[in-house]
Amino acid sequence: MVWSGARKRAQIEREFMAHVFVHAEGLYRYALRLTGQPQSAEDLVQDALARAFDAFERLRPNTNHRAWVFTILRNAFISTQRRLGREQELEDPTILPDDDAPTALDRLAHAGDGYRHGFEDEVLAALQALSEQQRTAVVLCDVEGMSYEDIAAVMACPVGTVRSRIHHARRRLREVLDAYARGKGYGRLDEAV
Amino acid sequence: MKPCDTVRSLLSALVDGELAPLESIAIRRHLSQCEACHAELRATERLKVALHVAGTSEPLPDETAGRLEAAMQARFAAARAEARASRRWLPLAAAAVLTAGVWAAWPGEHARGSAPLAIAPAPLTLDDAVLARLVAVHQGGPSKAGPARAALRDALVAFERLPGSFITPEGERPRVVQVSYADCDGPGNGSSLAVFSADRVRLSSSVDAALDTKGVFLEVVDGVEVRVSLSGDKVFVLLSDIDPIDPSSI
Repeated sequence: MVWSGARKRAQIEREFMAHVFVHAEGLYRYALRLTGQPQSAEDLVQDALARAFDAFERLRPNTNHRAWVFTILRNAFISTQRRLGREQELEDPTILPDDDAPTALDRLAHAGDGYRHGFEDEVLAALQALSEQQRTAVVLCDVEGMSYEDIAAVMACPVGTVRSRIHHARRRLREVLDAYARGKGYGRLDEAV
Repeated sequence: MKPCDTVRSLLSALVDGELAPLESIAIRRHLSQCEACHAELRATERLKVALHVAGTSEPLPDETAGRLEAAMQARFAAARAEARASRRWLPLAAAAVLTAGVWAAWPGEHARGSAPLAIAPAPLTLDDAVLARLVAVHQGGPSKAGPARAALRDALVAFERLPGSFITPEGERPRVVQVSYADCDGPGNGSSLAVFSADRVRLSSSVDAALDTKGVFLEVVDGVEVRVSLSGDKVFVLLSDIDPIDPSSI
C-alpha cells in the first residue's frame, strides 16, 4: 500500500540520490582538503547534502547537480570559517611572499608522520598550505577533474580567475615541493615523484 | 613579457585542455623549439598527476558512506512527515470551500448519486470496500441518506456526475479537464467523478499495482465501471454505468 503523495516524495528522493548523493565521495575528498580533518569533512558533507536536499525541489531543469552541490559545500565551509573569524585563510594572497615558505615546509616536515607512505602526504600538506581559493581551484581541477567552467560556477567567479588561481596554485605547490625535495636530497620535485 | 613567460603562464591551462585551439597550436609550436619551456610543461604534467594521486589516496570510508546515507534517509523521513503534517489541513480547507460553494449553488432536488462529500481527517484507503461505497453513492445511496451522512468520512474533494461522453469510446484513460457539476444525462447512462487529493488517499495494493503497470485501474462493480487514475497531485475515480444491452461498449 502506497501513499500517492509518498510516491511523489519517493521519486524526489530517488532523483536526489541519483543526481546529488552520487557525488558524496568527491564531496568528501573536497571537504577533506578544505577542513583537513575526517570528522569535520564528514560533518561538512552531511550538512551540504542536507542543504542540497532542502533546495532540490526548487532546482531549475538542466541544473549541473555536481557543480551545484559542490557550491553548497564550499559556501557552507566559508560560512563556518567566517563565523570562526578565519577569513584570511580563504583569500588569495595578492603576492606570493617567500616568507610563507617556512610555514608550508613546517607542514611538510610533519607530513610523513601519517599512515600513508610515499609522496602523497607531502603533496597533501602542500595543498593544505594554499589559500582556500587556490586550493579549491586546483583540487576541483586535478582531483575531481572539473572543467574551468564548472569550477567558475562553484567559486562564483569568471573562468579567467579560475585559470589564474590554478596557475598560481601550481606554481606555489612546485616551489614548496621543490624546496622540500631538495631538503630530502633530491634535485627537485620531478625526481621525487 | 618575454615569450617564455607568456607561454609558462599558459602551461597549466594547456595541461588541463582549457586553451582555445589556436592558443594551443601557438604554445605547442613554441614548446617544440624551447627546451626549458618543454621541461616546464613536463613538470606541470607531473604535478597534476601527483595532485590527482594524492587527492584520491583517501577514499570515502565505508562507515562514513553508511553514516551519510543513513543521515539522508533520516532527512527523507523527516521531510515526508513534514509534508504529511503540512498537507493534513489543506484538503480540509479546500473541501470546506468547495462543499460550501456546491451546496449554495445546488438546484433544489438532487439528481441520483450526485452528492458532494466532505473530507474526514483520516486518510481514505482506496480499496475494494471504498470503491464499492463509491459505486453505491453513484447509484444513489448517499442521496437518499442526505449529505450529512455522506460527509462523515470520505476524503472527497468533489463527487459529481458527468455526461457519458466524458469517457473516451476506446476505453482509454479518462482525461479530466476540469471539475464541474453537470447533470446526469439520464438513468442508466450516467457517470460520476470523484477527485481526491492524492496526499489524502492511500491506494490498495491492487490499485497501486495497476497504476504502476498500466496507468489506470479498471474494474466493474455492480454493473458500474470503476476507473482509477492518477494525474499530478490528484487521484481520479470515474464511475460509469455500463450499458446492460451492449456490454461490448465498455
